[in-house]
Amino acid sequence: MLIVKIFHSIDFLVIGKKIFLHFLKKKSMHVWFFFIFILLSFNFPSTSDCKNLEEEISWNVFEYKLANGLKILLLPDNRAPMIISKIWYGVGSRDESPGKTGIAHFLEHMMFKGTKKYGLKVFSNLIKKSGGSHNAFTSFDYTGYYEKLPSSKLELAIKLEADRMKNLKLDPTEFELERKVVLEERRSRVDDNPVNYLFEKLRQKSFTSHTYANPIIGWEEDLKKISLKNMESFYKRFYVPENATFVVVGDLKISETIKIIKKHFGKIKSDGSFKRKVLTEPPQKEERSILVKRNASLPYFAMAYHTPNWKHPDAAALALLEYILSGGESSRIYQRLVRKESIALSAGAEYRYLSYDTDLFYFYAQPSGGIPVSKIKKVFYEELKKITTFKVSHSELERAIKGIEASSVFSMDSHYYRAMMLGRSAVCGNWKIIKNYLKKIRKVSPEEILRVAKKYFHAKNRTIAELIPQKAK
Amino acid sequence: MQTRFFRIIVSLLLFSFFLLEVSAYANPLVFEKDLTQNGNILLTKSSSQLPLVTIRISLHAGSKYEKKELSGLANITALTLARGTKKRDALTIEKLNDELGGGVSFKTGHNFVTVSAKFLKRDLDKGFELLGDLLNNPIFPKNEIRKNKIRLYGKEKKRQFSPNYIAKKSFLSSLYGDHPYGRLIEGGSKTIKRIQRKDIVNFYTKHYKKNDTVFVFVGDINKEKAQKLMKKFFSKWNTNRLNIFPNILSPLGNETKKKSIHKPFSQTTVLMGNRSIKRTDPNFYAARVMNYILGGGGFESRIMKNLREKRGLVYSVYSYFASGIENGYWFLALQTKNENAELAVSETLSEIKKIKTYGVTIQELNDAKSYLTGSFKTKFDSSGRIADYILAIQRLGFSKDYPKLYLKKIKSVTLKQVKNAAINYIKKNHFIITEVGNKRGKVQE
Repeated sequence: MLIVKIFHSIDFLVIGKKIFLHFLKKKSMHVWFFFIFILLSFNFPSTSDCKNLEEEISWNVFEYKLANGLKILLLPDNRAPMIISKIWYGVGSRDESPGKTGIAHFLEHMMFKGTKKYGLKVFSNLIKKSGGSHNAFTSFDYTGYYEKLPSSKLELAIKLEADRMKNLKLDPTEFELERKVVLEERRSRVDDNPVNYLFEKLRQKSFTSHTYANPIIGWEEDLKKISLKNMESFYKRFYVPENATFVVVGDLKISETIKIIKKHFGKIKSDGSFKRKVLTEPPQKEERSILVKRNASLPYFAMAYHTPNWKHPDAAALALLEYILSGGESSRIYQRLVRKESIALSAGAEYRYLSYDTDLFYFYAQPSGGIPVSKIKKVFYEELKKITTFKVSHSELERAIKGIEASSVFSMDSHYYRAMMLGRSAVCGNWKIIKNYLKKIRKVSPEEILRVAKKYFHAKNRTIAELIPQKAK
Repeated sequence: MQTRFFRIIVSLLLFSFFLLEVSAYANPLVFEKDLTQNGNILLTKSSSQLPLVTIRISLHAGSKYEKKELSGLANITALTLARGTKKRDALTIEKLNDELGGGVSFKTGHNFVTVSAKFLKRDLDKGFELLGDLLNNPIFPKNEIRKNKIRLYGKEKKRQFSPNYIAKKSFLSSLYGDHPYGRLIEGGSKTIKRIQRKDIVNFYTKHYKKNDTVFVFVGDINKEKAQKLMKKFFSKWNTNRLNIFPNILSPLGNETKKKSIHKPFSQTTVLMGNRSIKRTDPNFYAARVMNYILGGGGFESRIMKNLREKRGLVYSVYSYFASGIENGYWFLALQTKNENAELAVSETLSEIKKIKTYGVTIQELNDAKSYLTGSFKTKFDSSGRIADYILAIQRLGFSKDYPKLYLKKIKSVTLKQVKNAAINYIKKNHFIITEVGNKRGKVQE
């Protein structure tokens, strides 16, 4: 993900290869702060002429659960002779203990280091010579591993994932080598990227007791001292069938797939005792702020409000607020900051609808050259004042709903995203979150949007972060 | 549920019948090609499984047609297309585009401008009318040009702290010198400042609404509907053949040229490479197999195994052939903490030397071929990818059955060809190494 974009603008130079690289570079992709939350759901279109649309693309998910607790979600789609298999573990940086931040992501790296049965480097070799690709990602709430394969090779992915759920070999030499790799990853993602550094600090300041305060990749000092023993017990605790969801999307047959999954995962024992810790964050009582000095040529502004997630009745209105404020070029924030006044290079908002615990609603902007952060801040406050004082018009609301509908169908076009959304929803609660999303969105009224905006967008509930550029040495 | 399944089965049967296909799924790369009366090319791939249509329009309007002094002109022209037409102002366009799902975008490359769009079937007529309006009737308002310029200046300034950007800029300029490929498509603030509205209008007049534009439709649309839409909105594009002038590459020396740029980053970003083969070269397939083994195969590649798995020097290292229509280059990119940069570079060079001297093993060759052929059919899992591939086949001048040919060519690559590809296409002649990082010891915290 980090270097792949360098040469993106050279058209037609890399036929085919482009696609391949895109996947390759996602090694250990984090669902980072700007991960675009493409939420899918395809019921109840608002206009009558798209009744067909509803019929054609409704989720046709098959759900199953093994005796050991492993959840299975299958979604047949035979447009191409391929499958995406993704296994999701309910473990992320959220589940780490103090002093051991980054261990979930570090373990994700170690999961490629072989088992008793399939030694070092065998995993990647087996997948790739079958015409497959593979990768993994870690987030606050989950860790996921995927294989993209010709459909005839599905069993290989299932077999390998079942094997490394239980039999990972944690070798001390490999562990030390990988620690270095993770530290390099941190350097390029955070140390040499002032905006990501700023967001790291913003989250740290926003949460006082919840582990959401910690970065997914971990604090450098923790990464340096995590021990192999720590990792062994972390692995044993979280990599159990009851804490996993296996998702397959693509050209598959349901009964056959279930049979193969049973064959390989069925033998993994489980004592049924697994539970994820309950974590809470006390309500924020006063405005917080933080200044960050970094080598950079331009300042940056970001702020975050505590908001509930999908579980809460206010969530649909918050999702619409996100879209109305920043969901496109005609959205309020983008229009004012980027288009109309040209004082920002980019600007937007992001609401964490799909999370395990209550999370944040972000606003951010990159000021244009010579524009002070104060000017940007003022516009944000003016826009928030407006949205917490006046109702949005019906036409603006309708445009937002239509836009969300269309982009939902667009993202349905990719197997990868469908598997992503199914898995994420499952780990954060239930896969049906995505199925019910549009239904909830369509019920929201202008009055409700006003009420919800007032409830959360007030000074006492926010944390402000500002990047102050430092001269390079 | 049963009726749904039944419907799917029936539609699949019908689909198979029309295409005379045996398999349960349609080959994603089978498409229809037509020439329009005014000399444009229409490629259609029908598939009705999702109610959406993906569109690509490719025009000869890339940055290679601009003068060096006005570098960035092609890009700003494309950017300003959607900022006002005879009947719509910028905000009206943005509102309509958002309502359609925000699917319209413009991308400028060295050779072409590509317009991308995605519409729900229900919005197709509305969306295509918008595309027609943007491409046929732009008015390039002065104020919108000004705003686009402000953004471009800002982006450039911001990137002064992006290691990738700094490295790329220097690398390309060392590689191509004065050739347009050696310049950034966005241009630089000096040249952007010079661009006047009349330059944009001139560029538009010269490079848009011409023949040899390629239109690609993928999704829930048939050829007749695509033809109808084209006729309605693009039939007036004149047939004057665009004079495509070749850009001559200046000759380069034989030495390795190393350039180090000091910036206070915690890592050093290294790009290295050389001019190399174009995509239509018959040896391209051997080169691709070779590169998979050397640095393009992820964890299967030698350089990744050495630098990351054996030594823990890097998180990311990869190489590829950026092989294009007119020429191409091979390049490799890595990032490592400053004090390891020297070791990472020397280990990379020794891997290059090794493959040039000893070639690869039969096992490596077979594994690479298995990956490249086996993964081919998994790549086309979205209509955007199918559209891009079909467009590329057309622009490179390949025939409709190129996908089959590609697989055949990859399968036929020999050990000797792989070794020769390493000898002929990597670290040959003018080899560039660009490093961006802290050259004065540790970063001050």
